[in-house]
Amino acid sequence: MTTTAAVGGKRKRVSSGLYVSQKVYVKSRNGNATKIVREHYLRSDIPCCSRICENCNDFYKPGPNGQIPNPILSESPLDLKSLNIGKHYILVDTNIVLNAIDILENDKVLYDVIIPQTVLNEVRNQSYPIYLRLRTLTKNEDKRFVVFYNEFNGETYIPRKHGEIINDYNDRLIRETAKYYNNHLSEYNIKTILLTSDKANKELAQRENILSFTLNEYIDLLPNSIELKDMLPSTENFDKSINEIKYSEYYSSARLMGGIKNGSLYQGNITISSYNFLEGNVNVNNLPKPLLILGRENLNRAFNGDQVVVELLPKNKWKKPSSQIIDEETINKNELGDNDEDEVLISDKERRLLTQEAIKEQGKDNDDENKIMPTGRVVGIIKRSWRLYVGQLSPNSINKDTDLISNAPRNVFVILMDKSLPKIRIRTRRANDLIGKRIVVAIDSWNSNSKFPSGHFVRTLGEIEDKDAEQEALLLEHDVEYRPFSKNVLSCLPKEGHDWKVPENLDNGDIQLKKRRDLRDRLICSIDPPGCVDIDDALHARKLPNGNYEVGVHIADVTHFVKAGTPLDQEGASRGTSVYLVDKRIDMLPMLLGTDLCSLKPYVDRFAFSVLWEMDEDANIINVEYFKSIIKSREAFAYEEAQIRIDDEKKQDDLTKGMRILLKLSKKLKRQRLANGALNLASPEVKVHTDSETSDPNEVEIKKLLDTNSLVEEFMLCANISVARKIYDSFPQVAMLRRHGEPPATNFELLNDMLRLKKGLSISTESSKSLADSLDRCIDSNDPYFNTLIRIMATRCMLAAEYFASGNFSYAEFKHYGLAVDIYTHFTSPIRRYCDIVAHRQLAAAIDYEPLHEIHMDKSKMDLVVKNINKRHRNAQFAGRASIEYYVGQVMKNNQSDQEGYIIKVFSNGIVVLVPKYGVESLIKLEVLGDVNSSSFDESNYSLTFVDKSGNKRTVSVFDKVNVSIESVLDDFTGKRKVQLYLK
Amino acid sequence: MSHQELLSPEGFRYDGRRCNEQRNFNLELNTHPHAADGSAICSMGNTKVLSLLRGPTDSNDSGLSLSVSIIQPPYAKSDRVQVSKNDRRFAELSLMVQRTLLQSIVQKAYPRTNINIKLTILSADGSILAACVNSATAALVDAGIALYDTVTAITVGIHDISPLIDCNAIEEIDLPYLTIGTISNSKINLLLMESKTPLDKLQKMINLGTEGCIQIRNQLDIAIRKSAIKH
Ligand SMILES: [Zn+2]
Repeated sequence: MTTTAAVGGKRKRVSSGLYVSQKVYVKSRNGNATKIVREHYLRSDIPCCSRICENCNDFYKPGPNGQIPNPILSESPLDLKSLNIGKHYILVDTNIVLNAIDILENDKVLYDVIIPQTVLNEVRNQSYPIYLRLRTLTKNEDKRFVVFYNEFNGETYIPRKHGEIINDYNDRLIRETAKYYNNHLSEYNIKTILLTSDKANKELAQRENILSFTLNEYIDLLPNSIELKDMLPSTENFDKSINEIKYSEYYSSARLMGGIKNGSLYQGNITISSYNFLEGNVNVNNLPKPLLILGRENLNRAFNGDQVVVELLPKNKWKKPSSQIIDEETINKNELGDNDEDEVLISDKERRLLTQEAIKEQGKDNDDENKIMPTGRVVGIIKRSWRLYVGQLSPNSINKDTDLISNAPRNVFVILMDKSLPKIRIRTRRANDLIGKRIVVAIDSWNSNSKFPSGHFVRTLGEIEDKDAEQEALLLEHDVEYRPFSKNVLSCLPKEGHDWKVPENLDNGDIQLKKRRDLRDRLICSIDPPGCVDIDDALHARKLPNGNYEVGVHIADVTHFVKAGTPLDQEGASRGTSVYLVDKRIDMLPMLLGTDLCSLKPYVDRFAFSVLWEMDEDANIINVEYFKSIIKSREAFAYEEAQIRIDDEKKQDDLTKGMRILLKLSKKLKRQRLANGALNLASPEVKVHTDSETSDPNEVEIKKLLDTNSLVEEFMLCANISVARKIYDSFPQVAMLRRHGEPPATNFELLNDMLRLKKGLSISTESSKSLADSLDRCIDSNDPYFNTLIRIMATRCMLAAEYFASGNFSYAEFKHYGLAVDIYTHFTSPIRRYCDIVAHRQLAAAIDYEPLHEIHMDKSKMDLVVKNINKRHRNAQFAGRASIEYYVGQVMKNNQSDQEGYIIKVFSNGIVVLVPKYGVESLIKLEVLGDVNSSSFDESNYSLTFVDKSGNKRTVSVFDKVNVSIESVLDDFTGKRKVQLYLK
Repeated sequence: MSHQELLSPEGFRYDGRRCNEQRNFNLELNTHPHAADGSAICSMGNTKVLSLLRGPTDSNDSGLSLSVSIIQPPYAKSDRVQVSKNDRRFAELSLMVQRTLLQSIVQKAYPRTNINIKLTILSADGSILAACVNSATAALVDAGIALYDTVTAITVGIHDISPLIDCNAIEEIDLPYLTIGTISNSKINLLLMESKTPLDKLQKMINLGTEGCIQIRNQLDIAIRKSAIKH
């Protein structure tokens, strides 16, 4: 379906200042043309948004949020005294926004910018992500970007001429806007410059007496132009000179769509292997297993995470997944020959037959000798996953003798921190400055004649290995929003600030306050990790006269302060979670709430959301109640403190007695849970100790678990389950829940095969109960750690848990496999997780405390929320791990040591070893192990034989316990410090 | 995400109006003096409805029988309208118009009487029911039927938290909206809403709609006076 706008009609007066004209479209569908007429209103009350202008004062009218907008463009914008330009605003065309959004966002340049509506709409149609960034800019008070509705303004709207192509028409609309601004503000001596990358448009503008430049020309006029020039997007100029490779061109979009429809092509997201950047796989709907994509040619410029279209390769090209580790470094040294086999032409029909074969092949029992898998190649890209990337200049790409002297722009490569991505070619004048720095780059294009994508420099983070630079790099790489909260967000906080208090008079006419239950007489305490300041939860228990127990879980009442739909709420929803790095916490909500007003600190009154159970001696739930409350925590314990207090028999006060009840009940809860088949999985959780003064990391240890850890955990699980049932009951379509799918048995195939072969053991995956039981049986009597090792490896075979809106799954699918419960949610940490905030609001509505805001009732909006928090949650986990990895590397710098490790993976050219003491795992490549040429790889036995450095023949295989020496090395290539292991 | 932005953060609707601005409204009475006893054309933006009234005539029934029919000639159909689906839809709408109007007519003045109103949709761009009510009311006035007061109607859509008055077809497709009709002193006698909306928003929509109906009423009064001068 296509629409073409044709000529617009006459104007007709509606009321003073409002005229209507007609826009006529011709819409063609299946060869039939239909005429559509739409009204188009033209107004005379659209403000220019300049602070200096007095003519537009009456035109600022309240927007959808009820607020009256303010003029934004500065009264004294940038003044270029040279060239007779003087004070000026900037008006940009669509291509400038699409190609140079980074520089528009840069805070060194381009203030007071006018975005015509025409440009805004074009950007929206061409790239929604860039549109969102542009919209963010218009909300940023410092950059002063305004949208001017030129097509609704009677003075700047012009109808399309007969036969005029749309691009020319849009250019004409934009020039008309520039003319209008120049006229409108001439009395104030402020000019408006049109920035365009279109030569013809520039000439036309100049002919119409509009100052117009390309972005390059304009930047040249600025005093800090040299520094800024690097940030300009790369243009075709350096791709023309390059002819390194010939990737196959992507299919036309018509062919892609047709192919997907008729089943000869597939669409999916591509994942590039983290061990081999030339191997990817695509999850395809029709095939039971992901389709393998091997080699540079077949990957055909796809980036990790891109939405791609693939076609199957002929059967004689189906292959095993590579058992090799390949990264760019290896390739760079020794160019891998992608063999140019002749293109085989296959018809669509044959491709569909091939699909049948592929399904058959994948369905086969993998105990077969041949593990050949269907392969495919990328023939089109629907959506790029491109974002800003962090990396460093490749040391090889600069000729130190000649290049460092000259200041001429030249092409250099940037190696990205993410090893599954190719290096990026950028053009810079400042290669000498940038060497040894962490830098941010953006990708502009990847043409079929260029082996590598082209991009441009965005900014410097700092020296490589500098703590702050590395931290920022890590946050950027994991897409964590770490900038301070905006004014808009902070304005939603209570005006009293830290002086906010629970009202003394509970009967002050506030209906909601009256609904709160006063629990300040209960002996409530909180138990958290040492040094915790954002206290989400607190507990209490007491014996009831009937012999049962009253147990209360009290959660910080964050939604009392964070009202749905406010900027504060939107910020929380977009951050999704707090992110915990080794020595830094990136908050989801401003500090005032997280560490003070919401935090259930001891000795002060706080609002809470309480779940109150009556439990019998065996921890069976007799009754449950939910209500908002006022509490006063008596003490904030660290886990260890709480443990000591409980164990100290001399303490017989009521608070301690209550804690003992909690401990007793929690043990029963845990027993029940494990009996039901809850999994006790393990992942090596490491804590990095930092020097309290210099905050330099100096020790790594595995976290230990006390009884009091699981005390809190059991009651939180219990609360989450109870709340999940309640909100699902009230909102069957949109309840915010969390599920953990049953892992497909195929996930455990490899681990099971290794166990059977090496240890004569097996894991059953029939149910979580049988998995839990079979994990208990995986014991090596000579090695107590073996069981933990298997648990770590089993954890990696599991699916990830995910948030979802209840309407998207059937009740049977709600199941949380790991916890072995039928329904689950997150309710207990609203300070640091957004899911919990939604659960709080839904629970509040379920108990008639306050009505549910429609954003949590609308299924499509809930789907967006869920999608985002799932992504944020994952990113936060990765960022946390990466942070630990960085610090472990730093600690090892001074602590070279010998340790025990376990082999957990064997490749033909290397092994992966896990060191339990530090929770680190690392690859040892064959060339580090010994002689590359004399090695032999026994794939079916998961073992590798080689001659080591001292000339001895050695065979290692999976699960072997080995002695390794640990060192920390700085990878010249990526600038990442990492742990390197050497086999002893 | 490829959907058009129906309300920009700056407060402009897709066609350039603000939230509380009606489209170009036009009402003409006595357009077909020879073809009918009462006639009117009402246009709200690009929606245009002609009404032709026959009556009052004698009937065998004991009270007043008011019949309303809605048709859309083929030339007035836009691309998105499907014919078969619309027949039932129009039957529903005519019933709604009939009930709404019946309440405004002084029924006891018309025993054993037939009044027949034929509504023709000349072009459609949203708010069809509202335009039908307004056009039919004008035809009743033109035919000199005794009314307690005139009924006027308008639509209100809701975009997030902002109510939008007088929706065009694009807005009606994507937004929840209601049609509201009021009679003297803002008494609501028509309220049709076919999608779910939270209660607090509904109140906002009704408030804006009531105001809109008053404005239409003023314009109806002007049109009546104009037609009275002409004859
Ligand atoms: Zn002005």
